Amino acid sequence: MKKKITKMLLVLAAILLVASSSTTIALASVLNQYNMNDKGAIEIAPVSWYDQTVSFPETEEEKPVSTGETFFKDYFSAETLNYSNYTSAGFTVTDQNEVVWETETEVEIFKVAYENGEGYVTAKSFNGEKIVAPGTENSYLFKLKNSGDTEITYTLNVDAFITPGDNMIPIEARISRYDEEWIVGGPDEWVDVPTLDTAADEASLSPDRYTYYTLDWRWPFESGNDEYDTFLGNLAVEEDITITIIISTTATAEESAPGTDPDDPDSPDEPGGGEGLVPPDTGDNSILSIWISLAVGAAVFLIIILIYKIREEKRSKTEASKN
Amino acid sequence: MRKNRMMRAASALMVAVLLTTSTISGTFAKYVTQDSAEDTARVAKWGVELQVMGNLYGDSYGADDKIVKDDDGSISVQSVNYSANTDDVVAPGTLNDEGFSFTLTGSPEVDGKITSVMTFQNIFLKEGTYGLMIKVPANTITEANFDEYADELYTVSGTIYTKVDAWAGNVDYYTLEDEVTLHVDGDNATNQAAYYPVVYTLSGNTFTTGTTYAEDSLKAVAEAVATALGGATVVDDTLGNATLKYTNVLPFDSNKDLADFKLDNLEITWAWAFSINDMFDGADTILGNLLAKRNGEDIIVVKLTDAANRIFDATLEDYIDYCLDTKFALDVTVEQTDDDSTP
Repeated sequence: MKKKITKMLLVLAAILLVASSSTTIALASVLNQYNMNDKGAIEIAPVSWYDQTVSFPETEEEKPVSTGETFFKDYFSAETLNYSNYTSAGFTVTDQNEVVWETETEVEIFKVAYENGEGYVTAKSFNGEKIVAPGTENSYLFKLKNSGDTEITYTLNVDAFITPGDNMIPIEARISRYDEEWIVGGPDEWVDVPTLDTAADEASLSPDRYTYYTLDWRWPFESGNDEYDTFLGNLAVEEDITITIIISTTATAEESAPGTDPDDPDSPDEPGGGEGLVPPDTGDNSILSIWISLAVGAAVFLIIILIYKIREEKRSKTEASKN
Repeated sequence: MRKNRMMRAASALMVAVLLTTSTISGTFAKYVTQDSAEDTARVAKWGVELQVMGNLYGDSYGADDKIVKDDDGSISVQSVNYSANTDDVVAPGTLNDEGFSFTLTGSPEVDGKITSVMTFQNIFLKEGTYGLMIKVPANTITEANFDEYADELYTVSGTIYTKVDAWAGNVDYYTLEDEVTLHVDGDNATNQAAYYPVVYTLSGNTFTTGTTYAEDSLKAVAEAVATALGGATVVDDTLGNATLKYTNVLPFDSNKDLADFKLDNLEITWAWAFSINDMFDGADTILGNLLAKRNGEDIIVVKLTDAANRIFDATLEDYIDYCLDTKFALDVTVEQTDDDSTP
């Protein structure tokens, strides 16, 4: 009886080994083009995806809505979409300069030189570093897109700080969303840097949907405190007084079969609505190599035991027949 | 025993396979993406420095006629208000050759403009013939001895002093002293000219044409400074009191080295010569008497209005016929602009 149980266990283990091996091989063949970077994030897909033209809405008609139409398809004709090359991650953030956010991506919220309304340069860094000064301002627009097949929930957080921390730069800012919701500040309201540091938003994006935010900042030319502005400008000769703005997004997708969303009647039946694969968004910080090594090691031991067991039985039978 | 061990080993291996399989599949089944973007900028540098060095005038001058500190015991000229420290003075023989200068440095990273406002005024005596009317003591002139003094006597009507040829009765008679006619370079024949006793120079150069004393050297220096500063000059002559104001606006681009404007080459000095010739000495005397009159002394300074009939008028207007004050004020402001007005 015990022999039988042992055999059964060994057979079960062997079946499991085969199943997990084949699953791993199948997944790896699809996911091998993704590499996790040091931060554990999946890197962006091959360049071919960005051959597509991305344009930001300029009119009311072009603004995305959160339900109903599939705007991703509305923006691009079927001819320009090439799903055989469409191997992107499901959530991406890009800005007006087509810079794709990854981790701590340097973007152009600030500039090296600024022009006035007539197009004349009125402030310019002498060494190529980005600067701020009275009279300078800028708007930074960035787009969050869910190009996957599952709904995602995202959070947006802003960190803003001045170094050294005992100085205050009289910069004002505000952030708006595409639907004219103000994350911080308002149409006639600007907030200081400490308040900007608390800006946050949370929302969801259905498949093939996107949203965009606009960060406006300015250092008023006539702030009413020329003396303090001059003090900062003179202090800047001796030491760098800097302002840093960090915008972070975290997107979490629901676990569901690719291409299906039983709650969304408009969800396409096939992934992406066309040919090719639509890989899921994946990734965490697990060190897969350790687990895979463990699995392989266990499998090897299992095989050794099996072989040993078979030989033992043969030897026992041989000895029994001799006796 | 061996079989039990084998069973346990097999069970443990199966558990291990199950665990690793679930972990790997769990990893691939999780959907999380994190992105972030950041940017940093520093405050643009300003760092404009304007330094003014030296004093143009003083309330005391030493034996060498130069401005001295209060504790210098060797004084040759000193303001009557010295102890009150309310005013500076200039006088024949005094000078300032150490200069009054200013420097402008900095390379701001923003566009800006330099606004310079010069306000100045110089001592002068307008061209003409001047003198002092001295009253003859009463009862000195009689009808009997009138002829002895006839060529020297004047009578007054209001502020008009007229030379008399005949006995005019028991009235006040005056004599004319320290008569001087201002001419160019002391030439008494022709070319009457004003007299500007204090001669200003810019970086050792005078900018007046012709003779130094006949033209306003301070105005010439101010014009030269305005030219050196560049930009447009707006002249305001409505201030009165013989005062002029020059305003210059010089725009500059970001990262312009302000030292390139070479404002530190602009050094202003002055001197009032002690004794040039008899004519200028006489003019200095007239100016001194005018100052005494302004300070309340009973002095009558007259100006010839009718040469043929030797008629003099005591009505002299301060800042029109003469000016007893000199000053030079320079205000320089450097400020950021947000409109590009660089020529």
